[in-house]
Amino acid sequence: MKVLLIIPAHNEADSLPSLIRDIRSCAAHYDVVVVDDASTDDTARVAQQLGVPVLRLAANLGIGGAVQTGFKYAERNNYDIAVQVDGDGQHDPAWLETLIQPIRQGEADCVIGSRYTHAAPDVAYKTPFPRRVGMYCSTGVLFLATGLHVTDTTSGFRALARPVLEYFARSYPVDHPEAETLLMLHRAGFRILEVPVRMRGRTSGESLFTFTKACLYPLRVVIGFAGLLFQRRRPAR
Amino acid sequence: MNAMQPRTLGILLTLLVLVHTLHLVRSNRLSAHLAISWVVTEVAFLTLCIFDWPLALVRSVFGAGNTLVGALFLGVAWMAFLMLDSLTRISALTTKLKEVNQELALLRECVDRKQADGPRDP
Repeated sequence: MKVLLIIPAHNEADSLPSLIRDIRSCAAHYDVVVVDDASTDDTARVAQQLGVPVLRLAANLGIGGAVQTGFKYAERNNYDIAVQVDGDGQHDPAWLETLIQPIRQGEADCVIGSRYTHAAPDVAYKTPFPRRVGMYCSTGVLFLATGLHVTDTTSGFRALARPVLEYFARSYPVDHPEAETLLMLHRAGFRILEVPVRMRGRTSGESLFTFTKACLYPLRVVIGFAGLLFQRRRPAR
Repeated sequence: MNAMQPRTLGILLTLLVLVHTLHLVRSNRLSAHLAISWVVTEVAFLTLCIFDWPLALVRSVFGAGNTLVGALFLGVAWMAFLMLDSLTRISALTTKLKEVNQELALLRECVDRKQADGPRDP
């Protein structure tokens, strides 16, 4: 099975080298593509020097638009599985196999790397307060809307099977898409599975999840969910 | 206050907005297709300010006591429709822009790959 690691990156020139090095040391058999979301630093040049294909966006699209570009790339180049790995280095490539395995075995269509599973929570990971607030909100709204209990709705560390990446190549939310995409997948009938993972602290740069954004996040989630629930259902295939 | 004054003020303000709209179209900052509904609205408002018959028409529909409220409701409903129309166009354009941006990135990667492969022998 062809596996593609999609790395969305916005001003991640400092953290990319160590991330690519880690990937090459433990997952060298997987292909990698970096989506440079109109960075103002040397992200694209650094990625190219590391010998990684780069999708350079001319204008900043946000995390959703960047990741969707990766899905389009995966779809056109006939990949069977796509894994989103954030460019800030928080997602440890050592967990890639854990994410991919359930898809290989046909147990799930989307596998989420979760820091908060009840069975094996990542106690070492210190969740920033704004993110925690946003996560509680999206978890609650998702549960109320679907009955689906996902412990780590804001995790971007996800593996997707071919039908899911084809589905997302056609439509994907723009801003903070993680929670909304779970609702989309549930409504389209895809199987979602969480597996416990450990995440690392950000190696450099600043999180886009600022306090102001976190305060607005619950509202964004509710509006996003309401919009999705109001839309006509799109067929999965 | 003379009854003529608010009417004159209304005409002047509407003319100002109309001239500004036409100026935006002339200077290529606003598409004529997008401006047309706003120009029609401004002309309609101008007609309302200059002539008495539009208000008389509203009066005949809503009754003498509700003329202003009726006119206001019609105006607000029309403005809401115009805004929704503009937002729909903006949403469609944003989606197109995103898709063009993504397509450009995918094509650039293709070109980069071909260049890295080097020229092939014929």
